[in-house]
Amino acid sequence: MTAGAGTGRRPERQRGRRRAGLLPGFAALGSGLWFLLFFLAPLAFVWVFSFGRQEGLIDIELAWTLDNYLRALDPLYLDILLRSIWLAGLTAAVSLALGLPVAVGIAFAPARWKPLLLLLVVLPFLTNLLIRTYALIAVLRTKGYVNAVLGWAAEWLGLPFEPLPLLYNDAAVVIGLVYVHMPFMILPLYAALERMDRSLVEAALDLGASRARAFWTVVVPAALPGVFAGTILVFVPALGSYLTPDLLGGADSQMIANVIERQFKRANDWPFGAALSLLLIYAAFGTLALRPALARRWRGPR
Amino acid sequence: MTAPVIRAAGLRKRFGTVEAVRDVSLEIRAGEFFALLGPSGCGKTTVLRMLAGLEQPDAGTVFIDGRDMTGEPPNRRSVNMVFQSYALFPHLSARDNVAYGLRASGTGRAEARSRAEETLELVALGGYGGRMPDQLSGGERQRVALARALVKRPRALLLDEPLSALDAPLREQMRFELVRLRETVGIAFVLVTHDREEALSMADRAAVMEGGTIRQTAPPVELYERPADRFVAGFIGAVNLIAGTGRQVGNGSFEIDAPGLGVRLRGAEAPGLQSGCAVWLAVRPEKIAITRPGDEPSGAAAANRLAGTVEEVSYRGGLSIYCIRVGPSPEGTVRVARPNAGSALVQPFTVGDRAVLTWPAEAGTVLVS
Ligand SMILES: Nc1ncnc2c1ncn2[C@@H]1O[C@H](COP(=O)(O)OP(=O)(O)O)[C@@H](O)[C@H]1O
Ligand SMILES: [Mg+2]
Repeated sequence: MTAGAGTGRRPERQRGRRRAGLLPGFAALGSGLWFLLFFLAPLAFVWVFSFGRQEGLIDIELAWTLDNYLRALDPLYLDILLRSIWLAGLTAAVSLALGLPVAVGIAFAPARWKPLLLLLVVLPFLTNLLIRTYALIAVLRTKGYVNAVLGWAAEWLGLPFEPLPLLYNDAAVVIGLVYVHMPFMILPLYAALERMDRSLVEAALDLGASRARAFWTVVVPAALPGVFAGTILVFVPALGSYLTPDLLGGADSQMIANVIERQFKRANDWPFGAALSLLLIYAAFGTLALRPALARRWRGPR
Repeated sequence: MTAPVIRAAGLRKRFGTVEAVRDVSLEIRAGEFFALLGPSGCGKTTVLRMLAGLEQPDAGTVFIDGRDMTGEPPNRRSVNMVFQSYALFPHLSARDNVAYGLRASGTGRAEARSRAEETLELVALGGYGGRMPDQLSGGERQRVALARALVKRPRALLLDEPLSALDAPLREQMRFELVRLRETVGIAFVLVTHDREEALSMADRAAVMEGGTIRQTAPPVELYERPADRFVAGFIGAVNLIAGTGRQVGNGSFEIDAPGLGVRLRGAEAPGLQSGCAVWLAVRPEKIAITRPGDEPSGAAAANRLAGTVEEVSYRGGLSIYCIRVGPSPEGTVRVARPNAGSALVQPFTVGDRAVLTWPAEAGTVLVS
């Protein structure tokens, strides 16, 4: 009886193993199709458009011209591209300055608090970006919460108060971008710190280092891979952000994505918009390529 | 005698509901090799960390060089630690790892580097200064960790299971090197280990810990020959424990009525023993002579005598272990270790043989707990 059951089970297990062998193949095929359909194909269209010429309202002549790229070098657009890089870079820097203490705080918090703290970090993701951005307008506008609190404080202290212009300028854009992208900085920093051997800090203290010295000479170097990853993860999407400068920025704080949007809509110049998009993509890929180089350089020759 | 380098009194530490350390007191003398020995989880590391200042005791005091250091942070204490994981800074070269402590206390870069190189030479790693930790073998990393802790010339070096991460041959070699290193630098070493051989072979004195308390502090020979209780006796080495009722008999001896065996055994007198209390006679297997009936020695060498049947013979190379049944109860067996001096191809005793066991009174210790 038992022998029969035993032999009966055997082919089944073999079949199961064969099925498990096929599964990764299907998964690879599926993700490959997905990648082709929703990423490479549209990108190919944009790439082809970028060498074309707008003819009339909807026609695009495939001229294989470089005019669109040359036009992008016009100071007017180059200026906006450089400003976008500057604003995205500033966003990454501010995110790092604010994110590092948070990441250190979470990494060194008692184990039972960590899941909750990490949840709080990613909680804003659960809300729509548009809604979060409007909420930020309510915070920053002339009669917003920040100015209201400052006004009360000034009144209480008997000081004159003029509401601060917090909205519709570059500062508002950076505040908005930092707010939106902060989790991308905190999570890689936290991951790097979590991997660090805790006894390294104790060794530093034991060898006579102050807490500040131990932080700068042991914790920060351990966080460096996270710093590289976080900076790139914030910089790249911030560089291409569209909604935040559109809603929070002033007339002259538009970024490159706003220009691109205008080419596809109001200006109705798809080829030029496509060229700008591709330049943005090249910039993003260039930044991503920096990461392995930075990481390798820091770890030294193997 | 000089004042102790480290004196800890009444240390207690609780983690949540776990009482990791309860009422530990110890003294580390200048320049001695002290071992803290005990099974895993008995609180050794916690004691060491309280000495280093990495953990604050719930109660008790720590004196270092006669100064009360309780509550002082680790960077104010003149002791340094070698971590179990070595905890080398991965982004610094071996030289910069060793120089770290000097730089942290304000030594100039050039001097710190040259002293780091000197200390690396002390641990036989001259010329390795430029290597990164991940370019070093386990043994080399351990030496860097030693050099890093020694470079500040601490009053005592605290080592947490320093050899446990090494493979067996290297571990053996590092034991000798650690002892030699301590003789060279002349400071006290406090070694935490769960390996009794390590403690016995290296330490001048050892404290045996169990369940957060110290059971006995003594030189290794004394721990082995005169254990304070059954736990120490068993943890330090193989031992026969024969239960009975004690009786003081003057002339430096103590008698035990062992009910299961129907004999009266004698052990060396130990302080604090009282007649009539439950005691255990502890005898190490190699101290018992095994002979055929009629061949047994007489006089003082046979102050204790048990007769029985060989139940098991286990060959261990240099010696053989015999299990002799001397009484009917499950505990009624005695283990005897006998060196295989002649040819071991023909064992003098085989299973089923009658045998007589004898040992002198001073070979056994009477234990009350
Ligand atoms: N930081 C800590 N938090 C909670 N429990 C701990 C901590 N450190 C040690 N313990 C507990 O205290 C007891 C003693 O630990 P430890 O001193 O590391 O023992 P040993 O070094 O002798 O193996 C163990 O039960 C351990 O689980
Ligand atoms: Mg330990």
